[in-house]
Amino acid sequence: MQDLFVASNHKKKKKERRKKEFDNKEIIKDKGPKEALAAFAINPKKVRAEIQDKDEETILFLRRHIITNVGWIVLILGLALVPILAFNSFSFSVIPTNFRIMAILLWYLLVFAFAFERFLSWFFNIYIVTDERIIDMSFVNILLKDISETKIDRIQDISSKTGGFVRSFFRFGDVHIQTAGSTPQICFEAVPYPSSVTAVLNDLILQEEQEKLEGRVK
Amino acid sequence: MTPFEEFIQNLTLSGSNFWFLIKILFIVALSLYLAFAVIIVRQVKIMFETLKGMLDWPIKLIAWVHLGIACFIFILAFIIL
Repeated sequence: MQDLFVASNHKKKKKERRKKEFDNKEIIKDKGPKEALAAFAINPKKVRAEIQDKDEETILFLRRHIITNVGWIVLILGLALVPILAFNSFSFSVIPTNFRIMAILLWYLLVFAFAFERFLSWFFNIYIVTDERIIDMSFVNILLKDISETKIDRIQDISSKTGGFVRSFFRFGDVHIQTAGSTPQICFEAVPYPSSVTAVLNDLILQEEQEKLEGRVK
Repeated sequence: MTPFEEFIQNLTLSGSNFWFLIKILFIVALSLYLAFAVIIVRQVKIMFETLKGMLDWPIKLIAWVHLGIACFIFILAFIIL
């Protein structure tokens, strides 16, 4: 009973310390009201990965910055205009009307499929940092998904990289995590506030080392 | 008449089955698309099982509506072509 009390007390202290740490950072102000669509969420209450334990706390929820979607959105708008421009430029009178209608419908179906696939790829490509591990869920395309995870105590090296005008302006970049596990490297691509993510991960590593020293490792 | 229109007219005149062939191509393309729409519904379901607490129902609804539209256009192709 005594041990259980100590563990729960320790967890509370840990949570309070982390809260203080986040309060000192301006990033907390940018936390969107809708966690599900956010690219950066601290302590999300609802979002959980299936592989997480019940008592495992989600500390960070990350995905690519929303600005990374601009490229494909512009492309979709361009593709949506193609039939309008084509029918204004050419008469296509030799093609029967029913075939013309079907061609337009098929074109818009394909454009929608492309847009939906791009959106799902952004939506499901997520990174979760818990108090025990980091999880990288990649939705490569509609047929391929890849989930890799590593324990916090297996992290060997963390580095963050922000380069270029857009990345500097919108404050997003890559976080590279070297691990001693089966996945040698996990990369958080184009996530907001990479230096803050690195700081949080470093803090978690220190906490994990402290737990090891105190003999409270799960 | 533009070169494209001439080309299409020549094809149409050279074989009476030209538009029938195009119809078959449309139906094959739409049946592949239908399979793709089914895969999207399945994948979205699997991803939401892997990840809980996200915008489940709006995205599932979009995937199902997309499948419905794909079915409708597939049937429409049989009717109007």
